[in-house]
Amino acid sequence: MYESLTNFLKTFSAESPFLWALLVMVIIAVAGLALYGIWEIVLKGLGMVFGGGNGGHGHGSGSGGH
Amino acid sequence: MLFPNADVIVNPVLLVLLGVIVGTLGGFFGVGGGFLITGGLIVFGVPEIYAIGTGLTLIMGSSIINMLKHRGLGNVDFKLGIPMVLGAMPAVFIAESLNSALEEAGQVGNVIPYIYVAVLLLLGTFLVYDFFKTRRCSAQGGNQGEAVSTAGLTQRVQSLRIPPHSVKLPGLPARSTYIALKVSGIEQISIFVPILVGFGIGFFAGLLGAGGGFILMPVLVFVMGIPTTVAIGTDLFQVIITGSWGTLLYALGNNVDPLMALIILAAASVGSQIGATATRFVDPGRIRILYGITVLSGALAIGMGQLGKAIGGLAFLGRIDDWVLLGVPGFMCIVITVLMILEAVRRRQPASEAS
Repeated sequence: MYESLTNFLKTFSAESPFLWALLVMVIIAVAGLALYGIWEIVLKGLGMVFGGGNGGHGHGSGSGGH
Repeated sequence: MLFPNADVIVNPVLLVLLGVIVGTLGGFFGVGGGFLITGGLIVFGVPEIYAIGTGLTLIMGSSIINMLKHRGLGNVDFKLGIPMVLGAMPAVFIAESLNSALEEAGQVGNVIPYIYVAVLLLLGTFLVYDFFKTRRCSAQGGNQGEAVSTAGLTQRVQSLRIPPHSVKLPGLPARSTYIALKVSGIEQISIFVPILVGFGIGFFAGLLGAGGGFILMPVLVFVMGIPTTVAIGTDLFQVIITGSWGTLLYALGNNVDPLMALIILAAASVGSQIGATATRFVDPGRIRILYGITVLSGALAIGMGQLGKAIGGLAFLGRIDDWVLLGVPGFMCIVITVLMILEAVRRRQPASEAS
């Protein structure tokens, strides 16, 4: 499986540069959004278990802002 | 592990470590961390062009995570970010043309690193100076909050009246060119101020081949008077745009290794949680001084590299500069985590004593 992935990455990037560039951007953007979502769920879950249900989030509790 | 596009074998554990450092600093300071990622990947043996391309791809991904995290904390001012991006776009093209002209003259290698060192040194020194000046002025000498030494300048910038004061588009009523930035706590500012700031930052970013986040955050705080945490969040919004543009250009040239970027991105998402959450606990004055020290270490590392190249007897400096580049930010991540934990414990104590 790793070999077929390697072959795909090498051939696709060489044959279709524009589609390859778009694919890279989409994969990274989707991965970023997915990782953010996963961490939000994990932190909310942890907050509910340990923090009395506020999900570990808070607005305006930071030191910034006027 | 073999990374097929870059055609290089790298230990994934090192990539994970780099990702955690980049994510933590990105979430805490609101910078893309381009110089850190590129330097780190080169140390790990990745060819320079792939290190830059993969670094920009990672900046795009990690800035998305960091920006969303800061948005959740109420730290992103889109009304400020959008005009800045509009101002930055033409400036990047102008700077890239200048860069190409320098390259044709064979001067890029001579000029750019010195400009980089000068900018980082000036910025880092100012941040350290500002920290100690505002610390002396603050009554308790403890938490400085949003106090900055350039308060007079920020007031003048916010009250600038730049013509035209209104614009009339066909078929629409005349609209004022002054906007209110609620998230940033600014009642009224000319829209041309963020556009001009974006233009200046875009020019430097294009000239230095960086995302520009490392200059934008202090400019927002010290010139425009934006609260530090909002400056961090809004800065990340701008870095997503510049990072995406860079990703597209380098991916078109097949100079990105997405597998490597994905591994670092997954690790960076862990660091992002630490860094962004830490901004809720650490005093803004301390955020700025830690940023100043990190910037100075960047100047030191690049300066060492240049000295190593220029003077034969100091060639050893060129071999240890990348370790300075990685070591100080790595240490900074530990400091950030410790400060966050200490403050969280301190805030919990009165609550538990009261109950």
